[in-house]
Amino acid sequence: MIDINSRRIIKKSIEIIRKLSTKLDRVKIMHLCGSHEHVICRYGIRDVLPENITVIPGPGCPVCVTTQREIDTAIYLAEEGYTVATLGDMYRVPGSKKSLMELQSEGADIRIVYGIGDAVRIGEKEGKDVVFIAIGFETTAPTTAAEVVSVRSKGIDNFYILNCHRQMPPAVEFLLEEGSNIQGFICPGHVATITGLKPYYELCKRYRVPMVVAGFEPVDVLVSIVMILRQIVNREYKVENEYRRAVKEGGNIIAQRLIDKVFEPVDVPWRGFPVIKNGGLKLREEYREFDIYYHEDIPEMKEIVNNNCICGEILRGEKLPTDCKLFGRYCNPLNPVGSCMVSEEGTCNIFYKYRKLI
Amino acid sequence: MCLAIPCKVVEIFEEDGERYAIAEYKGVRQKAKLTLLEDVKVGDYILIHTGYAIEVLSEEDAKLSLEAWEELFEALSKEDNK
Ligand code: SF4
Repeated sequence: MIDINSRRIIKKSIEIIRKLSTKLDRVKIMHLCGSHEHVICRYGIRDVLPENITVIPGPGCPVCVTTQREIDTAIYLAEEGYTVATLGDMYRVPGSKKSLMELQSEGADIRIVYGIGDAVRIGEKEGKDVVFIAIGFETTAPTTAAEVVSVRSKGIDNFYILNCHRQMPPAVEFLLEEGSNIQGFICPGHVATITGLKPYYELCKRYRVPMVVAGFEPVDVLVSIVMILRQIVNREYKVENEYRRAVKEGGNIIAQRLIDKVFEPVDVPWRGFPVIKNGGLKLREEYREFDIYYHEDIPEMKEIVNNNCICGEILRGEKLPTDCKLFGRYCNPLNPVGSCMVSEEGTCNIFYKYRKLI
Repeated sequence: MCLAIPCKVVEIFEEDGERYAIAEYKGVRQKAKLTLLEDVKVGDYILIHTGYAIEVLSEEDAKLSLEAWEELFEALSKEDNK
């Protein structure tokens, strides 16, 4: 693959960002993916931005936006004797009493897997009832859908999901509807490989805000900032695709069909947000036998969060980890208080990792 | 969860009626299901997400992007001189 990080383009982008910034007041741009925050911190992109141009992280971390109640439910299921399979990040997120990791040390059967396929295999090989914690945005939802379809065709009857899938565009809409002062969005490239650009057109038009789908190299982030600032200077608002090498206008049709076959939109709460209209996906009637809620009588649980943790505000783009009293000393990756410190894509975790550079 | 690295497909095979690729990045190999993609060939670059290949990257489009950005910058310097 050719190296996209052309030095020339990087230098030019920085120059242009500086020039454009002189024509603008304060501009706040939000990105929606932990991987973008990584690139920004790792390459010190904030340091090269002019003072009036800020890029802030939004709710782009699937583990982070999962509610405490969902984690408590996973813990309940493990205590009830299910084998709970999860992606590594979820394992350490504190529930209201403990994390899955702590529960495992008490003898519960918790497995860290790389993807849902591995979880199905555990059930097939060992014959146990397995629940997979299905988290993630549109990038991960088709993998769950594909696996559910395959489990059905193989006649496997010991596999369930604790469905925590979320859809990103409705959260963007929520923020815009709330009247947040965000003047441009760097949209998540990988979500768009699946969805294409379509979900952003309507939002862009309705709220008159520039939206650029961006890749994950430093050059991608810089070019997308150029694109957004140019639109603002020219008083335009449109959806642009900076990440053409991976994102097609129409997205991945096979994946979209699979999502649509297995899931339908549903209103769900996100951590830090109230219920977001169409913010989640639920299994359609034909597939509900794979929903652990359908299979098992799960008691109602309350959402209990630590009041000192400001993950919610961080996910809404209102605050940064450095505004949190607990950041660093009391809350760090070895001893995380909130989900944003656990996940590799969480803003607190990333800020902690690069703290000497910030 | 989001791996941004394009991995090169070195092998394609079938197992249990499902298609898989082995893809490599800097000598590290990983296995990915090809259920979500139609036309993947050995030598292609793919993005892998939680065990599934989600998209083929286009070398051609990468080159075109670089050109398009040069053009964008060109246009911007013109706008600037207006
Ligand atoms: S530093 Fe810890 S306590 Fe503070 S917001 Fe982040 S996760 Fe929550």
